[in-house]
Amino acid sequence: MKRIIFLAGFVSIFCLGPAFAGQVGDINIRGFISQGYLQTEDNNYIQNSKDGTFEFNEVGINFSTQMDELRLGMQLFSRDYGNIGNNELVIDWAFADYAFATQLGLRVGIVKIPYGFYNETRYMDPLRTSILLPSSVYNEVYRDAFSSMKCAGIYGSFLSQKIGSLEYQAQVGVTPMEIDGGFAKLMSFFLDVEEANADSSIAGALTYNAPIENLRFRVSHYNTQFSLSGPATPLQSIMRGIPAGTPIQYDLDTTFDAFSAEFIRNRFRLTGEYQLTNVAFALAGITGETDFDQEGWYVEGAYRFCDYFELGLYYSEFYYYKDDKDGKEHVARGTIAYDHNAWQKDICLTGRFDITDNWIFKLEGHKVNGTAQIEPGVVNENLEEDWYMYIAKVSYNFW
Amino acid sequence: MTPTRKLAFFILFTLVLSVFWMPQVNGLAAQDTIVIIANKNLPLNELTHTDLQNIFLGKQVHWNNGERIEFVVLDKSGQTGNIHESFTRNYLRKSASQYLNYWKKMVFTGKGNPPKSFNNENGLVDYVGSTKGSIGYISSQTAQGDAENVKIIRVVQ
Repeated sequence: MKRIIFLAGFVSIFCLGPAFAGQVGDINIRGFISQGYLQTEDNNYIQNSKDGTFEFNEVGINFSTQMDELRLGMQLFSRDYGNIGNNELVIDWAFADYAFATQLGLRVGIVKIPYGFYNETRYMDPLRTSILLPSSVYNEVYRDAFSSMKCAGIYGSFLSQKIGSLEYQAQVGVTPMEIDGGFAKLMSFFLDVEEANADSSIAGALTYNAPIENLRFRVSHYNTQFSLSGPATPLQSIMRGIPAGTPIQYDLDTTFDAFSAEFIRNRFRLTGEYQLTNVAFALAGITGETDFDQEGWYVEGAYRFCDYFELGLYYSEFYYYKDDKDGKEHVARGTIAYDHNAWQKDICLTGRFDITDNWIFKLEGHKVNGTAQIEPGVVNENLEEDWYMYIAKVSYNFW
Repeated sequence: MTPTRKLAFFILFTLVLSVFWMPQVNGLAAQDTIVIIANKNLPLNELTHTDLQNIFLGKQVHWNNGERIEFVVLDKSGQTGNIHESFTRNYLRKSASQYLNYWKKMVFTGKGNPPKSFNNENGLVDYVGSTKGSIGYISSQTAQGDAENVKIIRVVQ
């Protein structure tokens, strides 16, 4: 059924999209679709990637209308990324937006989370140079916590000729969590997650555009609180004497902070982002709160040689335990099997070809050291510390 | 080295090498070929570069009198492509492709609708002349002709 939905989306966008692009009455219809091929060497990064996989696609279509200061819109989205997504159709965003003035607007509904430079567009392949965003900051393991919030939010800009402009976004609401999402897998050592309940989330971003052309900085903050419940795993009986199968609940409180900077000079772009994550969790009614910090950063340079070709290069580092970067302490404790589970360092080279304004083709190679961000649950008989990834992707958008 | 890795390195090497045979991006067009025009009822006669950036990036949505800003552009391709490229590079400090990507980002996150675009300058002039609060740009050659209901906006630093 999911395949049929994806196929229907594919056919609709390719055949009907260009005909309906732009306006139909007062409604704007726009969409995009992409299909990739991903192959890894030495380790599976997503399910079966060592054999090469086409389970790597995205399709989205959105509808919007503007009535004076009020804008209404929604985007339907489906993706496949190994075991993730499986082309289920979801509402990516759907909200009402009222602009009172340049300095103040209000959004209510399902809104993308403003985090870093790219979180809001992380599934939109044509809007960046690389195919995969640097995983040190855009961690696929936590993707369910980063998609969209059901929330109310405000936004606006303060514009100044002399000191540059300041833009802000702030949102309060809840982030729906998935029982097979990254956090559920993170906690799967302790319980078999059967239920995930969102409690509350806040997100905000402050962007400063310097008076120097095309230099900008952004600070982002995101906190989400939720609970996961289900029967205890056998590990709980060893750790705390709780018999396996006993219903338990974990309360989680996770905080993400990102600091971003970007400079564009003619055909050259330089971007850097740093992320600090705090994951705190407690076994409801049994233990106090335990927490640990994760850290990641990357630097990316991209150069557009001509209208249809751009070359990008980034280096990215991620540490699962900020206070134990070489993993030795956690290996000794038995929390991880190999020390290289504690980090992931990635060098990525991408070639982007803009065949037309609508068609884009990309080729990308990764040389990776470390295995900290290999998807939990992906089978690898022997994890290799050094491994490689090659990706090709074609995307089409109409608007 | 495994066959997959050899193939990958070959492709990437070819890709890097190929850029030396590619035509380079055209140099910046002369700034004086562009003229900013607005509806003649708009109560202002000059704008700064920063004002233009904020307007054409959709950040400033109202004029000082509270009227909604209606900004329009020329098509990126076809006969108006050079004029559009010259405008985006000289006044917005972006290439036409970067400007297109900016609006794609706004569209696919639900945060904005792209400006209305025209495939000829006369169509844009007619629209600006007949639409309250509107602003656009044309080439200086076109600006020599008679255009009712529009006025030229001076750009200051």
